[in-house]
Amino acid sequence: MVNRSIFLVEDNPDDEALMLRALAKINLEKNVVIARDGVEALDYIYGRGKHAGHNIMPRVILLDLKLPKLDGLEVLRQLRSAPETKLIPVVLLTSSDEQQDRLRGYSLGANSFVRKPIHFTEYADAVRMLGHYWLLLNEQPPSGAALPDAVGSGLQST
Amino acid sequence: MSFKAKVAAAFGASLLILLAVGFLSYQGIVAQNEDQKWVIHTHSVLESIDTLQEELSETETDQRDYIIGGEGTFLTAYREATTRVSREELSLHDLIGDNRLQQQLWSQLNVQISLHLSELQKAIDIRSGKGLTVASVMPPGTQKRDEITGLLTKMKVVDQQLVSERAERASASARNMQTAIVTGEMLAFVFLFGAGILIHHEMEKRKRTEQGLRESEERFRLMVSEVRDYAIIMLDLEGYITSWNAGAERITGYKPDEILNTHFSIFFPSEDIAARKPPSELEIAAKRGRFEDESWRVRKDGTKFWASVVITALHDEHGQLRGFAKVTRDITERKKSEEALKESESRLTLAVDSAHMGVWDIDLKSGGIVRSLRHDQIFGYSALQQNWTVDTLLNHIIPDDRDMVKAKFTEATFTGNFRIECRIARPDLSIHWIALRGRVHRNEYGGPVRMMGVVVNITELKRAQDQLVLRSAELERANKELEAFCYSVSHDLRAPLRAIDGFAHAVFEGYSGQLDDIGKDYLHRVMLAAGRMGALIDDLLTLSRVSRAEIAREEVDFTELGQSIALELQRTEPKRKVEFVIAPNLQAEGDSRLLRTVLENLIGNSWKFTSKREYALIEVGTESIDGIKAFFVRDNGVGFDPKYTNRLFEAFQRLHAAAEFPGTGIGLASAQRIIQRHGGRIWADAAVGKGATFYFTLLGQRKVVERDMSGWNQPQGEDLENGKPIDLLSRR
Repeated sequence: MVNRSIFLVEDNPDDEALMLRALAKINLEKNVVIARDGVEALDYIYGRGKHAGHNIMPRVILLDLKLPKLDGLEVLRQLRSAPETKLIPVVLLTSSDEQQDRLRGYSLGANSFVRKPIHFTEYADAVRMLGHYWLLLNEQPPSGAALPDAVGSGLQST
Repeated sequence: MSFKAKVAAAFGASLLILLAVGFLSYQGIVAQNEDQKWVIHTHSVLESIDTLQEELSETETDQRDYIIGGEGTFLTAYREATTRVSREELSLHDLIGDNRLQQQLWSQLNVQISLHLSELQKAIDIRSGKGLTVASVMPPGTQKRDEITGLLTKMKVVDQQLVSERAERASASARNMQTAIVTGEMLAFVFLFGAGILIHHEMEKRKRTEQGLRESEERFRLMVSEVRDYAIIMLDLEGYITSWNAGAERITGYKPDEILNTHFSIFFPSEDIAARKPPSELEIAAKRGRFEDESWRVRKDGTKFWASVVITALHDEHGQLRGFAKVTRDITERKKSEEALKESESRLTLAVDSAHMGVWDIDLKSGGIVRSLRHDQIFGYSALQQNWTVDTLLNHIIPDDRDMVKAKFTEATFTGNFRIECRIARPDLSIHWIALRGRVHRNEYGGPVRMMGVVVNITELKRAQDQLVLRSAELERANKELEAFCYSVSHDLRAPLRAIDGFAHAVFEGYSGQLDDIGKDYLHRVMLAAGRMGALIDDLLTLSRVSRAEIAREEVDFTELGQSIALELQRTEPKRKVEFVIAPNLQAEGDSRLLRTVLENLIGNSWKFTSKREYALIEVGTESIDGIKAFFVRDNGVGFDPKYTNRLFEAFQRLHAAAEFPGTGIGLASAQRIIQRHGGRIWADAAVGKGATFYFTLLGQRKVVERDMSGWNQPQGEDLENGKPIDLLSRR
């Protein structure tokens, strides 16, 4: 089965609605799975808790930085430290353009860092590009985390 | 016996001897004359006797002749001869008048001659009367004649004996005299010789002494004339210079021929001459034998030197003042160093006094401490205390600090340095902080002997330090709060804006059919307001970040930056026709990201304020302002009233209506903050309708201050001060 799923981690219902609306404009709203805090996000990914048994990896994770319980950067750190999620594409979404966040995000292995524009027109544009890029254009890393450790660790450090 | 007495005695003795010899000689000569006279006398006597005898014979002859011849002539001759006999008899008498024996003999002789002559006469008378025959029978008077001859011979013998006796006596006395004279002469010679030897020795001695004296005088003269460190000169009674040495020439610069016979007041400054110092110095020297002084004197070239002068009065052997010796030394260097020392001492005193420092000096052997008044005042006493020792010091230190002080004190005797801060209890029981700083002085074996140092009351300083620590902590906290605040502003304030705009958009798209134009306009305004608010938040965050960010130092190329900003602006509004003139090689040093923000703001403003111009011109370049390179951004836009220049760089200050030229009023505030953090200055030059020029300098080679301190030093209008985030918002 071709997995075209987007995993959105977002606690703000407004932003969630706006994201879905933006995705709807490019007909991707059906492919979205949503988690509303960091813990739920990790549970979903690793098939734990109420997501027990789930084992399909999303094509891309859109991860908001400010999240209840575990914040976005911590979620990212845990994803990158687990072999099965080490290579999964993660796009950090943020309202601010704090340099520190950007630095830490990339350091932890984020694949992309996107600041959410205030104007919906621009926001919708950004989401459209993200969807097209990650679901259509970008080639997935080989499944099963079959990369040798050396390469994996190399990736991790960048 | 002195040399003089010896010589006098010798001369006296020889003189006496010579006198005696002379006397003897004189006597000898007199005696000889006498003897000679006697000899002559004796000869006269003998001659007279012989004459008498001859005349007697003559009488006899003549008488006989007459008797025989009877002629008258014989008679006449006889009579003449008789007269001569009488005369001779008388002269003989005269000659022998001094000799009794001879006189007796003469008396007999006289009788005999008279008898003889009368006999003769008788015969004559007979002849004349009776004739020849009778007469011829007359017996000759032979008896009488023999008698006379015997007497005359006797007299002759007597006188001859006298002569020989006298001659013998004279020769004896002459011999004695000779002996005496020879002896006397020899004695005199011996004495004179002795005196001569004495005199010779004495003269030799004197010659040697004189030689020595002359040599030593020469040496002395050489010494005086060649000494170069001292001016040694002689003055006459009036103070005129009579001798001059090398030292005097060196010190004063005068050559001997220029200065000799000049009055010594030539060396005095005019004010001293006016004060009659030169004569009074001589008076003092004359009165007390010596005058000493240190004062300024003048060289030939007019420069002054600090002289040490000693004037000594010179007297002859009768105690008569003959002149003065003046010894002068140039001690300007010493004076200078003394003055420098004095000055440095007074500076030190000033420093110690003005720093309210007490001074102390510990004798490490006895433990006794010598202190200044200030020291004891710091310890709470109004006057200096008696007998202050290390124990006294320790007793004043509060028990909590005492061990630490003791330990440091011991340590100091090894390291040489003593630095502590501790608390003391004053007599009124108040506690004060003091700082002690000291240094150990060692003897030649390296053993600690003394420790000297200062003490300061640092109670106030400590209080201020405590407050500073507190304030720093507060500041740190405030900074953290500000950072947290900014972080949440950037996240949490923007999210609702996105919702406002996003849902307004959704309404507009999904429900525009149900809205009339006014409704649509309102919705539009909501979206615009959200956009402005977003821009405002972004600018505020930039301003805040500018204040906090570290300033990097790197090469910045304003030419390149300006070109890229110009391109971006033209892309946002491709329909506008704006000419950019950007000078090449606009190099600077600073934080490229922040400087880009400055240039973005300035060029952005120019872009904005030239929007109403058909032909817009924006220039970027440099000008030299007061010798300093200033960058500028110039436009031909609407400009502004220069009286608002000061408010231009304050946050939220806008000189134009938002509807006319949109903007947040924060851009220039950020630009100013960035320039200031680069150590530069930003200012504007403008006129309404005539465009504006913004200048900035980057003298910012100044070392960039630490982040939290930069917040302290921001000038007026910086409401985004790190410590005052709340004010900023409440002002909105």
